Amino acid sequence: MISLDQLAIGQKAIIESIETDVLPLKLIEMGCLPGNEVSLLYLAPFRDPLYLKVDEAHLAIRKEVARCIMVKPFGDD
Amino acid sequence: MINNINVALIGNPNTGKTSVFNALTGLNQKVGNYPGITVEKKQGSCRLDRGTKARILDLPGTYSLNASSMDESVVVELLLNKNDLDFPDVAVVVTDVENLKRNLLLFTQIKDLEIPTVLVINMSDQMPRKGIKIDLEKLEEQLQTRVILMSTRQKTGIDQLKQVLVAYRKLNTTPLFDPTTIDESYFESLQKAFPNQSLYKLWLVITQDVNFTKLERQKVADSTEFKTQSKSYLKKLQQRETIKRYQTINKTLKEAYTVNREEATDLRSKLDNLLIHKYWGYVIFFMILLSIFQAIFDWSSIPMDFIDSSFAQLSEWTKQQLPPGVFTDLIAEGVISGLGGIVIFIPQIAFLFMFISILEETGYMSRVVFLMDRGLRKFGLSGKSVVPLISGTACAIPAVMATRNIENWKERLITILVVPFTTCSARLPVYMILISLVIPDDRFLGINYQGLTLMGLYFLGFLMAILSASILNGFMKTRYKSYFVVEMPNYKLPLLKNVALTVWEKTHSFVTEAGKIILAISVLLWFMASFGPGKNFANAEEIISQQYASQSMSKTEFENKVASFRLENSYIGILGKTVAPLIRPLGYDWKIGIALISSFAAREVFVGTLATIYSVEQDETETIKKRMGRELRSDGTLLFNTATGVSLMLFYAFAMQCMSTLAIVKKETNSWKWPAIQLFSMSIIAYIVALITYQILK
Amino acid sequence: MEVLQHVLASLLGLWSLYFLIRKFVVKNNPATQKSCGKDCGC
Repeated sequence: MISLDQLAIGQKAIIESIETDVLPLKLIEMGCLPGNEVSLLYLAPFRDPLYLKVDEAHLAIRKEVARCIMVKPFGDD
Repeated sequence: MINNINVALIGNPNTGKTSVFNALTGLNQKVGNYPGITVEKKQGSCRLDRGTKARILDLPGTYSLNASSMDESVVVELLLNKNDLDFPDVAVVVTDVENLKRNLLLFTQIKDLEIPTVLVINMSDQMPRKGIKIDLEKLEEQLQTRVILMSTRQKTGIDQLKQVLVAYRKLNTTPLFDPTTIDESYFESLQKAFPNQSLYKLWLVITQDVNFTKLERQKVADSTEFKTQSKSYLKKLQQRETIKRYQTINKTLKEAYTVNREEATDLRSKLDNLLIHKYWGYVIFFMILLSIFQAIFDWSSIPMDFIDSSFAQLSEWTKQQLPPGVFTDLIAEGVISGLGGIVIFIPQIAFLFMFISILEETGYMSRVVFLMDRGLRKFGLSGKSVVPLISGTACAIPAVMATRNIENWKERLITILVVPFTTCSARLPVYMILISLVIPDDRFLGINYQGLTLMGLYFLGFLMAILSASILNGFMKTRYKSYFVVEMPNYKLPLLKNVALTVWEKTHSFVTEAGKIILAISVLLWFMASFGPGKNFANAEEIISQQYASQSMSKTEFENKVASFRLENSYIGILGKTVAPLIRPLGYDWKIGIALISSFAAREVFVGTLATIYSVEQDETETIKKRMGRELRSDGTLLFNTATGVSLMLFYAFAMQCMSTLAIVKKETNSWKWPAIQLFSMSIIAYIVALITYQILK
Repeated sequence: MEVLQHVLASLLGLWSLYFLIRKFVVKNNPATQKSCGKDCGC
């Protein structure tokens, strides 16, 4: 299991757990919850922010927030 | 007898909710503010059928009822307050067909408030392209309401929505979700304490920090049992609620919503590959920015010249038509020129917001936010500060209002504080006349020095904004994580109607917000310039005719001399002379002092004031320029030499000379502290920079 | 006529003064007290 910011571009993963105390509720409302599929689409320079596809939704979050989301990568396509 | 019903449009941002609103109401809409706060309130009306008229309220976009911004609080407050005049008889939740799952979260929350709720699935024209199929019957059965497929682009579904709205009483209002599944013991005891209340409403009253009707708040506050729950425990319950809701939604959509990805064509990734490329992305952004500025300059110069001359003529005409007297002079010189000072900015503001609105409508703005976030964060700003900083080149007022969607308070505050450094259009006339006076009209490698100076001043504005942001960033401490979520919407062609309405709205709010203040100050300045204490002011004509008794001069020349002498001895003239010692080290005399003071109404007043002081007959730029070019100091040297000119430009670049901006900052930050800090620190910076410049260059 | 002009001018002047004072001084609406929300630091 790794944190979300360690994914490679194009890699897919399943969200395993989230640090509920720090993460804003809004992120959970936008679909960042355990069990959902997430993939990293693009990175801005310095790997921050991250452009994600989370369960059909496309959104960008900052690296420090991505560190609070643990994921389990799957597949290598 | 016509039946009136209240309809509220609710939905996530980027779902085309505003397009639905525009489709329903057309031009029958009004934009105002919610009482006491600066959240925009959009209302319109629409005939549903022969006997029914709907008052439609377009609520601010929100992802859920768990409010995290002022805009979102407005939604919760309204939906919980049955006594509110705008309380909806029926709610329309607008969703985007591609993000249906996430959009349904808000829908289930609204439905649980026991308000009749209709679901509109917008952008349904995208379904074949994205390979989406929806089983409407199943969806209606699962969600226990009417579901309407709509495409505002192809104008389908609107009539159907109207029919459903007319028959809103038939809609089922039972809640979809049972809060006791979140935490049985907590919610059961809550229900026991308030047996007649809806559980979800109670829950919202407890968790939402909004102004409810006194009664409801009182009820919950009384029961100590629910207050004792810690904030983090409540947050946990909210998270659990969200997860539970998503589980229900997943179950619903499994049967009714299918996506066949093979049929999907992907415009998004193609455009994203280019537009957020780590080099090309920035190159493209700066190219777009430059073209926008170029276009605004080119396109607005013609209407601006026209407005300028029209108002001058109107002022002249009024003087001739109305009976002579104090009031006529006030109307012609104070009110009309004040109005002109507002109207002249409309072309630039309208064009700028047209471009910004197109960039936002297409989905490109989110990509810019993504590209710029990291760079701007170093200075304590956010990627979302880009829009305010660009808007600031038209006017700081809409720019300050555009900071509202920055989540992080510190980043938002810093953006508000530094935005007035960007070169707003009111500085332009001042720069123009000073540049033409002191910068040589020569070319260097084919580049015109005057144009180069103007561009330099624009860059200087941005640079100063960034620089002061990073200083503020060092001073302000925050305990909060820099929380930042941006949705990356699909690329879309902008709808002309939406762009036009945004332009209208922004221009309108500029005229009403800043316009009234500028107008009021213009009137007061007129009084200060038209009256003065003591004999000098009252006997101006005699004094002048005595002074120049030996010389023969034309009548207008004599009148101009009198006007100039009057101004010198008026209240504002006295004020100008009072500040003269203070600004002498900057290279300015008391006449410039008067212009500086009157610039607090609006900076561009500078030129007009100098025209009056130098008793130039008409507001003709050419003649003012010549007159300014001739003005001498007491030692016989030119007043407007390079040193004074550059020092003045820099003073105008940095000084906070805009009362309307101060007023809006006070409103947005809800404190006098921040506008006061802005006023003093910016003015001090301006003073020091102008001082150093003059002393070096002189 | 002259008197009327003076009266009208004074009225407009007083209105401007009143408008500015009201804009800058009063207004402590409870609704503005809460600023922006929970997830931010105000």
